[in-house]
Amino acid sequence: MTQPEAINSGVQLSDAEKREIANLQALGRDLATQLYVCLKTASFYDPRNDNFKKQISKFLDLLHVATDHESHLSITDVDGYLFLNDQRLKIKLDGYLAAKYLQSQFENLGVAGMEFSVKTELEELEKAFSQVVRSDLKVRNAENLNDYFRGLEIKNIKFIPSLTIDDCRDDDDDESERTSAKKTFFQALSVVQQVMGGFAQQKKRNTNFFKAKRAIHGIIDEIIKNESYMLELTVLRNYDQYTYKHSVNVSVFAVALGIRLGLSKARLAELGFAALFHDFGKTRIPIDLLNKPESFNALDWSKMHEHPIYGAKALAQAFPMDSHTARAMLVAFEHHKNIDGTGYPYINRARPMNLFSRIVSMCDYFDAVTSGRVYSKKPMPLDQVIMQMIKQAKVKFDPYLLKVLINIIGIYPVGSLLLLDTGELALVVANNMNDIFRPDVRILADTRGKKEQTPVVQLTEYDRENEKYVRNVVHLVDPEKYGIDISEYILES
Amino acid sequence: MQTDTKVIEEQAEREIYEGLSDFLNVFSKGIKTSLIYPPDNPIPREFKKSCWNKLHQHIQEFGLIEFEVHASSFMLNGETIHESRTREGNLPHVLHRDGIRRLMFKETITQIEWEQFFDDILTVMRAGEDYEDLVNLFWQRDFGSIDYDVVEDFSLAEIEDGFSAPEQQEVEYSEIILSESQVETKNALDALLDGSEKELAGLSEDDDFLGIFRNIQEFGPSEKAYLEDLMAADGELIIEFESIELLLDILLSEDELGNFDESLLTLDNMFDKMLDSEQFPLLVYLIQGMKKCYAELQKKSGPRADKFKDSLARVGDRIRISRITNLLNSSEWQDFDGIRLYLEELEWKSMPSLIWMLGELNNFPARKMVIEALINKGRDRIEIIGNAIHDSRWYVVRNAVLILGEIGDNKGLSYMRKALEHFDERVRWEAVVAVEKLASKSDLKILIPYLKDESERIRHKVIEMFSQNRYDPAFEAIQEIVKSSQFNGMGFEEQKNLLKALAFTGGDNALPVLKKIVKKRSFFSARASQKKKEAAVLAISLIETEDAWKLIEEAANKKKGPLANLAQLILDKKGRVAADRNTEGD
Ligand SMILES: [Fe+2]
Ligand SMILES: [Fe+2]
Repeated sequence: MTQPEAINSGVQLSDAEKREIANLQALGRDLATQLYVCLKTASFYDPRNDNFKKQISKFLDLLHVATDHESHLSITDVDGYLFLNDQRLKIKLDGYLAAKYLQSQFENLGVAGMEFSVKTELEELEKAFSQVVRSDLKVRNAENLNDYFRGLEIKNIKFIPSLTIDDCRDDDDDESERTSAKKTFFQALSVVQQVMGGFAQQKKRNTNFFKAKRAIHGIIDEIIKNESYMLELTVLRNYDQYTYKHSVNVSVFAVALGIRLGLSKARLAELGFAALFHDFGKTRIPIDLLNKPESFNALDWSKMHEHPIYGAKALAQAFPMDSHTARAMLVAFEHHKNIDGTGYPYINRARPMNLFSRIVSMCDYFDAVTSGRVYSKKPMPLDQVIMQMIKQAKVKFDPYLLKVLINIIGIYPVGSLLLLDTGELALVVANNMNDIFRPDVRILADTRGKKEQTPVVQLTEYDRENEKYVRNVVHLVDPEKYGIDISEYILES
Repeated sequence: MQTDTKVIEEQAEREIYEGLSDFLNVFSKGIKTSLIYPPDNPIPREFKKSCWNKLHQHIQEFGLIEFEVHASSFMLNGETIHESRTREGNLPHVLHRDGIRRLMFKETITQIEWEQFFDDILTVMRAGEDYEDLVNLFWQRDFGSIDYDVVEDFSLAEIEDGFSAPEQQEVEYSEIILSESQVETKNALDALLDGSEKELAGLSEDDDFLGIFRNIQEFGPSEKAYLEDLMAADGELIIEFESIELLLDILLSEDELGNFDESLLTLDNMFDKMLDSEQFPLLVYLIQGMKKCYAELQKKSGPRADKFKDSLARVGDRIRISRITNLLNSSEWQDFDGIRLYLEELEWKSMPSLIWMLGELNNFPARKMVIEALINKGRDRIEIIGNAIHDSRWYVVRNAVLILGEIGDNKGLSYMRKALEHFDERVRWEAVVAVEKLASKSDLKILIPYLKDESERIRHKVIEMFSQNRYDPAFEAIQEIVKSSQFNGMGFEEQKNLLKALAFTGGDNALPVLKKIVKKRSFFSARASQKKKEAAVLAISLIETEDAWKLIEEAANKKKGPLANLAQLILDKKGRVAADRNTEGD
């Protein structure tokens, strides 16, 4: 038996080669992280600040180690992946923030990345970092920035142009990325619908199985490219088939979490697949029960409690036996279990809850309570959700995994309505990876009433002169309470 | 002038087309050939390499390669550059079937990527169209330099229809803001993360656990280590095994009979699917699990154990065994170890099926594997294998004999009498070989009649065995043959062996006959007679009694001749001379 992860490549690397790649990977991650630290420190501190200088010289040290092999060193973002020269960096949990920050910085600057020559000096770095974050060039792109640097006599640091030559790339690019995210999400939705809606009519060839895998691959690629567009789509609640929408949502959360953990692509695919079909057992529960507007009685519950076992069995029957199906069976069975062994179904089984089940059960709970189905008939206010989950972290959820999840969804998840200290009412549209207390929001209204234009602003926006943030969160507002349907703002550009 | 350039351009284009076409032909042939061989065979590896050379050379010369994929051809700018009409190993078809419509190899392609690409196509072709999807395999590879377009059959609008339009409500935003601004309370989450734990009644004593969340954006070393360990432990699971365990656990816990039946059905279904996709290690694991499960069910009352027993019996029934047989006959290379382990897991009741299988298999490695399995399985059930002696197919009988011999249990001997009588020489031969393995000295009696078997190799083998065992009950029979007229018509080797056997089985009793041979005068065929005499002298020397040595000395003292020389040589060698001569000669 081969491990799920071992894909037979037919070509073997020698141990020395593997070690070298591993070293290069570690060095690349350190460099990317340090670049992030430098850029971040530069945006907060004066260039004369000691801490800033310390970070810069640390970066230079790393650069010197790395340029032992090469004369130039570049860090670039290619389709959501970070590259050190031509080697792709495999980002792990602790490097994730740095990587995403760099990618967003590069995007803001309109470049693909930065290149440092072996001859780079400390002074140049100081100048470069403090200027990059401050420069108020109108059109930001590699050409302009390189001109600007030349003016500052920075010779050994260059910007690498983006592949998109488009000058007004911002909107169009966002637009196409949004469309692409939406397409991927909806495609997954369509696949779940086909598979769960009519799994009895499985054709001879395992079309559904392949389609589902492809849909998951799409989700993974899309989340790597832009996590927040996919997360935003989970907030759309007005889909007529709750279970299918919920399945895709859970899959999106689970994959996002898996990416943070640094799971390999092969395992991410299994995770996404398992999450997508965690409620496969609901195909047997009558639709009237699923959609019952009143609270469930004891009989209803006992029917509902059958879905994990039925799910595991039905998956075994519906799909060919491979690691995806096996994963999905375990997750379907365990997703209502708690890490302390309680939960349902109650059968005699001495196995600790599987990693994927731990992930999915959390994502499942989060999506279910926020959408106001199954657990309670009304969505739980978002500030309650995370607190509830933390409260249950000893019994129900794995606290460390929960911490990762909170870092993905943020303290104010996408779709939250916030009252700001500016007297504005704002809708959270994206979590900010670097500061989960300060998401990106769309300003919906102020004391004068609803806004015609609803601009997106970052709550990290900092007023340097007055040394304070431009906007602060006062508290969450429950949209249900005021009958506000947030879906009209989702995916609005 | 203009036409010249055009001609040159056209020529260059021609070269590209031809080069590409050449590469694709090699590629397609490479795939077809590789399909015949096992994956670890050097021949596919060679093909992969020669394809790579072609590809690499072409890319070096002309830059990236890009072409369209059609149902049975590859095309470039409307021109067919490769066509395949066969069903087997049809390269364009395999790509096209999974929705690939365009394929591109970039300049940066490496040999590793090429080989992975090649392997994936082989994997899909080997798996047949039911089990692998090329696009999914390619995705997992994460190719940097191989690009492809895939068609989609999905319409966005269809899904969009499922979303209801947002409710347009008149909301007084300014009022919301106003009333919310009056709310003074800090939200519960802030309170939690601040550490003002009042909000969390009942949890406050457990500081460690809340500590994880207090510094929500930072992961400390121990937290990272915890997550790494969790992932590492998960990576060690063989998840398919886990799912099998799960299904069995569910089955055991099923209270309602209907649910139990359904679980059993699921198990059967899973079993068949794994058999279809030839996942023998999984099947072995499943069978082992089923056996344990059966043992558990037997402790409970009710019909469950019986139902389960039927399921377990089906594992080795004729239907499933025929499927494995067909599989083994379909191609020369298989997961022989996996299949053998599977067969060894079967209950003894399935052994007749395995013996039947042995008769159906048409290639040697497969038969060998089944024989090995039966050798391992049959130890406790000699009689089942023994019954195969009555099979009408000679090769089944031969294999049963072989297995009994390999098992080496003396009980197997009782089936040999029948086997030795078999009309087919190959069966009798195998039976003699088996008897050698099974029989104690006293059992060798059953071989006596076969001193006269029509097959020379059988006669030879039997004589040899009697010699080696100094089996005296055979003496009379051997002597009879030596005395008979047919002895003279035998080849020298056989004569020699018979005389040797005569000496070994008879001892001094053999001397009169041997002496007679040595002394006999012959006028015809002097050379043959001479050699026979020499053989007799040698045989006498094997008896090693005083009477025997006397005869040798007599022969040595006769007038000079080859026979006397031989006798002298024997005397010299047999300790009757100085020890240092012992090592010489021979
Ligand atoms: Fe569920
Ligand atoms: Fe669920």
